[in-house]
Amino acid sequence: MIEGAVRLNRFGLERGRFWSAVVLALAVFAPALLWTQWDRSVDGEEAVPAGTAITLEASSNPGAAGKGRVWFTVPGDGWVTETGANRQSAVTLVHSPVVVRTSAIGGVDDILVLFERQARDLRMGNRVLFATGTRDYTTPTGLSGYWGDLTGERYSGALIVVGLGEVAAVIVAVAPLGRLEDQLADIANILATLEVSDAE
Amino acid sequence: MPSDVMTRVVMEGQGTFVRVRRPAYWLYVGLVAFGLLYIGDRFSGAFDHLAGALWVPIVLNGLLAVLFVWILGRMDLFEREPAAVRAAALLWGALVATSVAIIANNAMVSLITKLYGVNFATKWGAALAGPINEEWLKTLGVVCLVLIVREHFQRSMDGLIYGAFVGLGFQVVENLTYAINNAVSNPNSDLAGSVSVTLLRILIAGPWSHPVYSGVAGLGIAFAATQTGRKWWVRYGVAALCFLAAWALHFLWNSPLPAWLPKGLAFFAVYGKGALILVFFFILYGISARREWHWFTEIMHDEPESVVTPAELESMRTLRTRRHARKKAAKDYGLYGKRIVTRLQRAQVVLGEAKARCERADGDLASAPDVLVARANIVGIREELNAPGKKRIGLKTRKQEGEDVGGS
Repeated sequence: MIEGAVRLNRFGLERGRFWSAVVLALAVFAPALLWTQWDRSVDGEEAVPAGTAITLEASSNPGAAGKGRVWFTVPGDGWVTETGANRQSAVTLVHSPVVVRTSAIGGVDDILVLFERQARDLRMGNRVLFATGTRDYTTPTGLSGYWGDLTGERYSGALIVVGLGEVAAVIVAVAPLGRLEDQLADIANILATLEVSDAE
Repeated sequence: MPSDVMTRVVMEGQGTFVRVRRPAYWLYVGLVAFGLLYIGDRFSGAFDHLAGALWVPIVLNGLLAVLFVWILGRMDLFEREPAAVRAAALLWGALVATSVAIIANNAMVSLITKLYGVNFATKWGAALAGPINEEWLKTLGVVCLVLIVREHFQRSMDGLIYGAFVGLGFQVVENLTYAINNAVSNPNSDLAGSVSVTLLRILIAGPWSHPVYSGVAGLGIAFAATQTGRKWWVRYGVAALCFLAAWALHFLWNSPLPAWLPKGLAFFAVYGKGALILVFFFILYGISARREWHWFTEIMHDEPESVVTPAELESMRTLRTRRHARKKAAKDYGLYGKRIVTRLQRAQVVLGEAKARCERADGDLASAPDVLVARANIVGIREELNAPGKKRIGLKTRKQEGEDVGGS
């Protein structure tokens, strides 16, 4: 233990050391403030013309060997994408009021397990959604998998997981309660062009 | 009203880390509380659903942390930094740096994606966001410690050790965050996702990750804080260069391998990057350790040979020379001799610490109690070594009567 004389200011703190702490506090939060404000100032919405082909690279988790691609065509006009949230393996498309996030996942052993895990993630998410009425589903392009209806407090939607070999496409469509039915044709049009390839 | 009227002077005892009169201390407390809430919120939700899958990553990362704490303790040759300050450094890395870095990294990757597209962000997002945000935040941890407990920074090595502890805390929590993310995103199993990414991160990135980068940056901060006799631009220039070096090492590790590199060589390229990082770190550490030894010889040079002989002083230079002295003692005197020399070396380090403390407090070396006690301990250990009854407890015949135990 060291004994020392400490000269205090009016707040009972050591004199001459206040501003260095203030500068440090600003420095700590500077990166978070800088990047969040800059990110917000850049418009992240980009119109996606009808007929645009979108290709996603299947994400490869450590230990998951399967790689491949998922692709589909944007149906009709009025779609926009949130560019900041997009990844090589996932894209978010918005056709107000419906939001469709499509992901490509590699290394899948069992489509049903993947469906159940995706349903669990939606239950754990900020916007709690429950997958009900799970049933077999085959896309017009011949990809087989499962369809579940999503129900939440203020939102409803659909969870569709289809795949080929070790690669799967996961489509989560969400809209405010009672608004999805009007947009089902949009989702059907996406599914009508959805293709999966398990070749690298 | 004159400002002096508002001034109060108090005499108070100070513990190892708690400095209730220092604003930086309360900033530290506030930031740790923020980090605890932020990281706790992220982890608690995951633990509800993934607890079974997270025990293995927790145990593995715990072992990693224990191993690093042990290594860093060994690297700190002449002055064991106080446990409370080391723990404070660890907490900054684990809670403060990680929580703000998550916010900053997410926003920066989103911005890069908006500005330069998905392909660029996938390739370079981690290489840019990681070093820029994380190195800054971890380095500020060492700056915060300087503002709170400047008295625990005597030489550059102190900053390296504290920086490495900040990095270690960051690495453990980052590894756990990866384990949670991969448990969720693995298509088949929580356990497979969490364990595979944990093993990957520990085996591939473990030896040359955050403790190394932050150690380099921390060394620069401590240099600026302690080398007060040098010109300001030299001090801050070295600190800036060390920070840039830490940034560059992190960037090197996070940057993608070139596309033209054959897949078969990727393994060697990854370990090659790691080896480069370690070599750079150990060069800096070597320079710093040499300065530490010079400090030790200076502070001990006026001690009589009953306390430390020139040969013993020489043998204290590195871990290797210390081990050599112990081995020699084992050869000459058996296991007992080795134990005694081990104690002697520790006691001599303690004496150096006590003398340094006394000098900092402008005390009298001839009468400072902890210096006297440390000296008496050394003399006692030496008497034990030379005691005539040694043969009864298995000491071999003394081959070189009169030769000092660490002698060359």
